[in-house]
Amino acid sequence: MKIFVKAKPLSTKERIEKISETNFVVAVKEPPRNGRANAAIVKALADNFGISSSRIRLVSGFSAKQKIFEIL
Amino acid sequence: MNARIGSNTIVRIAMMTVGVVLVGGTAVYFFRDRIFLSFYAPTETKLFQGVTENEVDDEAEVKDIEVIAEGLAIPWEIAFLPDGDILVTERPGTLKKIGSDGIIITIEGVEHIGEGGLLGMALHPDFEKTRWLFLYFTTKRGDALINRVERYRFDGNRLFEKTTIIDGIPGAVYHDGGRIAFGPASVPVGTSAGRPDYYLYITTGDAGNSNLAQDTRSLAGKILRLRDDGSIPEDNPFGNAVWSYGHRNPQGIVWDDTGRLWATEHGRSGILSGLDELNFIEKGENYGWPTIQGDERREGIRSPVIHSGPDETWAPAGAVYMDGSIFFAGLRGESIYKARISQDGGVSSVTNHFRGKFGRLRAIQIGRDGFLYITTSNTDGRGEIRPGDDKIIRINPEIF
Repeated sequence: MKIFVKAKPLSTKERIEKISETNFVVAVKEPPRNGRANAAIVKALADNFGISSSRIRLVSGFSAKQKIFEIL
Repeated sequence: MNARIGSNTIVRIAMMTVGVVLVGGTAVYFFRDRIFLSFYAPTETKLFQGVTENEVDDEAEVKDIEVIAEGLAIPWEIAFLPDGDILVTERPGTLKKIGSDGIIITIEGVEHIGEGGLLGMALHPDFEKTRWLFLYFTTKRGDALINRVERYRFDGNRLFEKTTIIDGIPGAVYHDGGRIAFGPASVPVGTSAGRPDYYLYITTGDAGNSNLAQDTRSLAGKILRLRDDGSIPEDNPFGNAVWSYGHRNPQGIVWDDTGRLWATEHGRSGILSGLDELNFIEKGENYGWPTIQGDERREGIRSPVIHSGPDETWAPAGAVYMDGSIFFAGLRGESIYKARISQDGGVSSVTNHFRGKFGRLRAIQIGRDGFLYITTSNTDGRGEIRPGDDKIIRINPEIF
């Protein structure tokens, strides 16, 4: 299952906004450097879905604001 | 008189033959290492060279390419723990944790011989709840080599509650397969359809007996599919663990963003080395080994989506999917290969990257941070050992 995420790094508060079943806005505090924001988004999504972070993989948008994650 | 000349001639020929054999044998003895390694030296490539070798400046390389672990012994697979630490299997039989505490665990029963040993590893998709870790390794049953997948519970420091998931996969000095990975869940996340089935896919080699690859009752030369407890899914095509057959020695499996399964496979070796494959894997299909190779066609048999050709060797191992491409690691090819997937499901191009820069490459994974992580395999006896080998290297995927 693919989900589409608009990333908002360097936010003051972590939050997830559900736009549709497969579209989300994810705000994280980490900066978009050295993969830190990506890792924080994975953790936020895992917490939101109640699944292990090992089920979530970034498949597109390494440094882009629009990212695609695959959920195993 | 004629008889005496004939006799002398025979003696001279015999002495010359002995001399040639002695000189030749001595030369082969003294240059044996070089001769052996020449069989594993990178072949010429006809592929387009990726931008990574020539267009990345030094500053970018320092930032985008980072060695994060050194001094490993034939690393085979890596996995990322939820706390950010990395697990790595080493073929001689050790599981190492890279990160906070550097724990080393020796796996009992591993038989490290030739291409066999401690190979694949996978964390359960619900690892944070189950703590299940799966390992594929070569071991012995009596005098015979076999391969086995075991499941353990891992508490961060030790393995316990060992359960055998599948046993008796034919093993050998060569062609032991060994990659294991969980595929997409049977139920989408967030639905109320209950706990999804998680299927573990396992690549096995033909164990040097190519005929086994065509025998759907044998576990050799196959891609297998099991539940996470080792039971056989009802929809497997042959009523056993076999999902696809006719494989020589597949060592990489990956799903693209539409859920399709792909596998890398080592083609023929030795003097005729080449015809390495990237296959699109479907249930119950026959992938040809040893009946057909390369561009050969036969009804009822699937040919590779793309292969390396008869003169080039990729020796493809681990594979990942990112941004519309499958990236796979090359051992003899000493490259990261990028196979661009076209809209019709084919492969529109294959480029090679970092050719020769790091040496032989075995595993490739995507970290939680979105970086690519690769392992070198220069201490496996077939490569040129470089300072710090073997290594885990982190690479920014945007430089491909």
